[in-house]
Amino acid sequence: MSDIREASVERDTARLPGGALGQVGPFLMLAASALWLRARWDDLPARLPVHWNWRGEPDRFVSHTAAGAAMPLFLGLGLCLLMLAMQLGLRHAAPRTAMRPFSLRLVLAGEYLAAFACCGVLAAAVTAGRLLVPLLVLSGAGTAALLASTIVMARKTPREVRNPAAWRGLFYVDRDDPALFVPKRRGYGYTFNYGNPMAGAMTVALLAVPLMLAFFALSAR
Amino acid sequence: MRIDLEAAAPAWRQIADQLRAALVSGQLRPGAQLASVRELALDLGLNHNTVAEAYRQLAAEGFLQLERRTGAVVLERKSPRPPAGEQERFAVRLRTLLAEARAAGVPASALQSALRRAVEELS
Repeated sequence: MSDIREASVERDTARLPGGALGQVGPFLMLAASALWLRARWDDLPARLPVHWNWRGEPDRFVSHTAAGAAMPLFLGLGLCLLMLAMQLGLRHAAPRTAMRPFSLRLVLAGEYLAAFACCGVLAAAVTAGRLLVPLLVLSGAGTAALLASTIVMARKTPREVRNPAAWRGLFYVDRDDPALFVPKRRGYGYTFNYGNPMAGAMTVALLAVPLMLAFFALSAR
Repeated sequence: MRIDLEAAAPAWRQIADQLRAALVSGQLRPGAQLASVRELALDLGLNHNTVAEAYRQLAAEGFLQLERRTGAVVLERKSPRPPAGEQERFAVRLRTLLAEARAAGVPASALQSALRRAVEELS
């Protein structure tokens, strides 16, 4: 099997999408929500709803503490930091392919959606669920738009299989390849190069984040 | 840049050969900044040392200046006076290569036009 590799010899001058302001946006949304929460702190009830059943009635609450009330913002901060790290990883440790700029924009859009949804959950909790329906509608529309964009991009992007000999099923292992992220062999997106020592640590970190968030959420109840 | 890892020539030589062709033909002008070793290794999926070897070879030939901060920069390079016997040495290499191609069945007319095209591109 032939193994042809192609690359540009020009410098990689690509920057993260959106520029500095675009990158700061999700964090500004979270910070503005934190200030809004602080301004309304004395008016909040003793228990804040954080989960609603399918009829829109609250069925889980957190106590009126800083950790409990700001839990959606902490969750949003964790998600935004994770997605910022993903963008930096794609920019500096993934090969320059046609998929990379699309993927960077997609992750940034996901970061905005995550920040919006977390701020929305806080707003719904503080307003006793009055903002729940608009939040669900807008978050659902945003998710649908992201999914549609992903499908369109996946169809537009030419398929590239990196080093066919390095694939072990779904896993890519090439110790000579300095990339941390490589395009998936099937489907759209990236996977780790497990020949890179960072990949194992990143996988553990990615698994640890949702576990820690779940633990945090349960302990705050 | 396009390299074939199944080819007989090692990857670093393929990189050096293609860059040299681009430099000699003027596709890469003096002052141009090339992809850093890290960037090119990342894009090609090769060890950093492979790309660094190619860059070092071209730096030794006077084509590139290698700096830690700016990476590889194309230098203004005057064509050197060929040492005695150099033309004859290349003529022998060319003859060997042409014989190999003819033995593999490549028509003489195709070789002539390929040679003319290559000379025009690199002049």
